[in-house]
Amino acid sequence: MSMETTDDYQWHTGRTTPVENAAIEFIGVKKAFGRNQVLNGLDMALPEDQISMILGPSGTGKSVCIKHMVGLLYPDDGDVLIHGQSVPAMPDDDLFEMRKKFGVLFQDGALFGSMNLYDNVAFPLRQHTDKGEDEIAHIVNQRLDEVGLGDANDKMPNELSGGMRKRAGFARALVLDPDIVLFDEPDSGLDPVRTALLCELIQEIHAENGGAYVVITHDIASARRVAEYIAVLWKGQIVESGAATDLFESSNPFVRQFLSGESQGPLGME
Amino acid sequence: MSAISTKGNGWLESTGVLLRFCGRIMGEVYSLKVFRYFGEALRQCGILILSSTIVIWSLIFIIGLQCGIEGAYFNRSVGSPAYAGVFAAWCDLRELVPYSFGYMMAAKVGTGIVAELGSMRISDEIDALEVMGVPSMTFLCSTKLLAAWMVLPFVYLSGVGAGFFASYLAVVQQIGEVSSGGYQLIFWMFQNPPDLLYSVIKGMAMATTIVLVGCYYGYNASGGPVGVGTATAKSMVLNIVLVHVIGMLGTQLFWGANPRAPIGG
Amino acid sequence: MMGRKREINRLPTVGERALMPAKNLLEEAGDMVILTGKTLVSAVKPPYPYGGEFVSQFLFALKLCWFPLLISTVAFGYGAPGLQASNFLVLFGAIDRLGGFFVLASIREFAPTVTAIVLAGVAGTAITADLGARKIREELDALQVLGVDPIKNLVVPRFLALMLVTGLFDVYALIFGIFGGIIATLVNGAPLGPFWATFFTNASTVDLWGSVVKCTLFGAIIAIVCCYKGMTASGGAEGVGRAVNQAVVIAFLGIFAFNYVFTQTLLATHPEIQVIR
Repeated sequence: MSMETTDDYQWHTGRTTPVENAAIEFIGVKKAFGRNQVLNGLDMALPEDQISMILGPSGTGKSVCIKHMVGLLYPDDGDVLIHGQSVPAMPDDDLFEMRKKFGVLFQDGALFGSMNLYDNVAFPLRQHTDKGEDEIAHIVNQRLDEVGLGDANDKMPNELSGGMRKRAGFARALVLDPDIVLFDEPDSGLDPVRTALLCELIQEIHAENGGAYVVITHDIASARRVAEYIAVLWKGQIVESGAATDLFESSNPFVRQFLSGESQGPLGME
Repeated sequence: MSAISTKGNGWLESTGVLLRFCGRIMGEVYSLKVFRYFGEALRQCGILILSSTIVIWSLIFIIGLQCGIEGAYFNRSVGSPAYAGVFAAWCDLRELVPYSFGYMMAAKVGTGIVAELGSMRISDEIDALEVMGVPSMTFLCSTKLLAAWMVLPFVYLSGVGAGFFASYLAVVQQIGEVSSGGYQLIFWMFQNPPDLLYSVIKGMAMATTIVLVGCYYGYNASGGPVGVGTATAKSMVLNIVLVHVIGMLGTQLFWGANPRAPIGG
Repeated sequence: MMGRKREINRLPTVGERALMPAKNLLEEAGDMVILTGKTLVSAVKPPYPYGGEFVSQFLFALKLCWFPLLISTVAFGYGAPGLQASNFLVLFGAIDRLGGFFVLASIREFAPTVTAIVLAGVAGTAITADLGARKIREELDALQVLGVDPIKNLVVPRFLALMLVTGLFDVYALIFGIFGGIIATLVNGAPLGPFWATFFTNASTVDLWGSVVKCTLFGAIIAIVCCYKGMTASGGAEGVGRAVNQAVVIAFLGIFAFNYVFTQTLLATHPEIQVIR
């Protein structure tokens, strides 16, 4: 038993290419839910102006990472820095200000069920800006066109397919021109073609707007397609992180098994 | 032994958490923070009026009929059918209108809030609000409380009317042993405006409790759609008990030492 | 011209939309009646595989409800019929009559209704949440695929258990409701002897039977409504919660509507129970 626990982190070399211009930094973050230690001293830095991917098997605390970045969860120990500012140390008012830098695409879009698509996308503008309805209409329609939902703006969220809900959530996340955009499993529940199209959309919009994009996924195909920087997470720590091209060449057995999706290797059923 | 004591502690602790949660929501209404989202509060008012008033009135109406019938039969049996109005007046205004209002509020509005907020919680909509920089507790919970306070006194007052009308129908039109005028004389003699005010206070105390309990269970729901269902069921248990306790305390407080009848003492 | 044409087109839709809730309500009521019929038939038709489930549901409801019901009945009995009626009777120096009044108030009315309210709110909601969870996890479909009839194995035991539990809890509620009345008598500084004397001169077996039968039927209403709503819960995040919400609203309305009819019939057909001795 004790053998196994020491073995848990034998593949975690922590090998990483240093990131000069970090948008998001995790420093020794620990987080437990009851007895379940989800993050166990996580050190990670994600670069500005690139599409980063946090990869890892199911249930390794990837979504918990995102919640720490926007201050929905606080670490038990350690620190989370956004553009050099500590999130856990922020007072409530600053936290709400800081969150305006973020756009977040939740797993199923998290559109408000009581509003139609247009009102969903317009919601952040109405809450946080003094723009008139005309200006809002212009921005909202432009964003909806970008994600290819220009003619669906009076639909209710439950009338949309899963892929459309995600794209709508994407439009809503972009509407305040965020510096950092977070994607929580954008490929879950989508067929391969839709996933590919969504990835393309992410790349296009990133090329246009810039900023740090962070994508959480366990889908290797999308990682190959869009990632510029990759961090592999397992058991609450980083196994390896670095530029995407380096990681796909990695000699680490865990990273190689995970990135090629083989059944043989350190990662078992457990 | 230790199991029992930890269970007791858990119960105390969750009561503490519940009270702190309610305190925060009430605080945000009192400190007028909620008026930043007055539009949302108005929308909640509209939802409350459109979806809940009719069922609340129907239940009060049915129970008003019941009060009338029991009153008529009871007073006939003691040989004073003309005094059915006393029974109806007290039974309606002081006890059963608040209770039936509480029951239907808990069933329709309370569990409705849990289902709505719970589903928002598990589909990440509450987190989405937070990351868009909107304080979700103020936006979702405090606005609901404000809406309840703005709308429900009027719903309650018109519900009292529905109950009175039903009792009148039952005693005068259905049983028909007392004339309309005779019934009305006694009925209105045995109540006065302070009674109505006390009754409204009782009803509003129940409504406030129910909205807060509903918000608590919905806002803190977890465990997928199944978890939302369980939370909805649990909120009902707590609300039913609290409605009865508030009803009793209200009666003790307002009428316990002073029957407020226009005869005797 | 255009405007008029549009209006003609829209009128029926508005009408339809207005009638939609009523139509849905009627359809649902019909479905519930069908479910009741199926439940009754499969309860009596052999085989009887539901014994174990029946016992566990019975104990489940018992465990869940005894405490909320205790608080509710004592509070209700002390407040509504206890304090208010004794206030009134004290004015006439006739507090001993409180016992007689409790026969009417407690046995005939509030013991069964409070029991039903608590059972619907506590056990009924739990049943809907449980069956709703099974429905969206596709357990109900799995049962049918495995050749197991969900009505016989899930609905029948809950139906019978809830009827038995509400019937028994009626007596329990009676006892604690009267306990509330006793507290009210003592608060007024009156002796308990006359309370019991008028109570027992007025209480009749018809009253008690009426109360227990009424309450048992309340249990049947709660079980059918809650099982139906649970088994037809829709998917999505809100599905089960919404099912519980609707179940408890329908159960409450059903209980009180039925109560009105039942009291009416009992009082009209048994005039002797109206006489206060």
